[in-house]
Amino acid sequence: MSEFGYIPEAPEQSFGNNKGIFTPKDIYDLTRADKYTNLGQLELIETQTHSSDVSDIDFTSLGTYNVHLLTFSSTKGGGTNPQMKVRFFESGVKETANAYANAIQFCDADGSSFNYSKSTADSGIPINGNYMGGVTQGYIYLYNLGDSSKYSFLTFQSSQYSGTYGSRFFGFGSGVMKQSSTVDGINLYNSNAGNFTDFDISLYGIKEY
Amino acid sequence: MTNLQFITSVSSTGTSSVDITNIFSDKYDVYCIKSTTYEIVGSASQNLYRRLLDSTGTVISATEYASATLEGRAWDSSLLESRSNGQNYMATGGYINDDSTEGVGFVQYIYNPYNSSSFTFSKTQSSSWNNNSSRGLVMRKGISVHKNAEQITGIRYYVASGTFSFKASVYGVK
Repeated sequence: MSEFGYIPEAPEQSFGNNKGIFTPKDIYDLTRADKYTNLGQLELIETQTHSSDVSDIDFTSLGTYNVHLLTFSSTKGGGTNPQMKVRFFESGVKETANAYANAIQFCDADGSSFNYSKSTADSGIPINGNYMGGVTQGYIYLYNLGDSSKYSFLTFQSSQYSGTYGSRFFGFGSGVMKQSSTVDGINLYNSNAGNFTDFDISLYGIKEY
Repeated sequence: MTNLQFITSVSSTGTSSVDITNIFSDKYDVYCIKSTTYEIVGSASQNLYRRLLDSTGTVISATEYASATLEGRAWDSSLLESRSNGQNYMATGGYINDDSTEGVGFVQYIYNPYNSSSFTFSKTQSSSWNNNSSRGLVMRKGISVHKNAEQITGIRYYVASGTFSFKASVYGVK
């Protein structure tokens, strides 16, 4: 008898194209081989929540994905004009040089105009305005982190409430670490030397076949 | 919780267009398309365009699309607005690289494509690299609509000239 109980030989199995009656072991084996149709390709990698104030939040187990999604909510920063930024780890070493570029559009609900922010050489990628003392939430898509031949890009959208100024903001934009490398970690930090005083952050991988 | 359900992926090299067929159905109202590879082969940076495929799989090239896009460039203090109420294509976020080293990242959402009584809407956010004159990061965020109520079954990505390499995956949003 061949694998999966077929006589004399098993049909080809692949995602979206499974044939037959499967035992739990069949399903386990096919799933491990990426050949079983398990719907739900937004795969949770890790969630980190606040238990004590920290200056950095690191995700160092990224799995193998071309695209990651990071969501953040209930996130607050201490210090003066706190701002959350993103940096990357390469082979376990955090890149802190001015290796990042960004282009971001911010809007203050109480203001009369939009604010465009950009940089060709920065030590991190801003994800919100420098008013994280209230609360901020949003999402970040990250691209090509594990591909050593490509730059690592991101796109994001965020909203925040400034406790200090009583204002509401939204922001969206793009960023890149402008060097080809294998990224194996994501660092979120408070750029103005303060800590994170609250956060609820989840990292997902988007599975493909 | 909302989740993504994989439908298909495409990978091509050295073509002027890529059709992703029979991806829309009555199973989902919203779809997500993500890409990390769009590389122009042997020519200057250029835009990636989209057109939709109708219920017979025929590309819709009539002037039935409208788009509005905001572009920020890391080297330029001005934002660029691009909008049109009558185009024969959907704008795609991406003013993309002209060699194979940098890559790209974009996510698009498509709304109501299979509903024959609804327009098909889309939003895109992208991050890409422009090598012209050694410039750099390009940010785009845009919206598009196909202004005709009909059943859409697929999508075509294409460039105005030359050929390109492309990879993308399509998901239903459950």
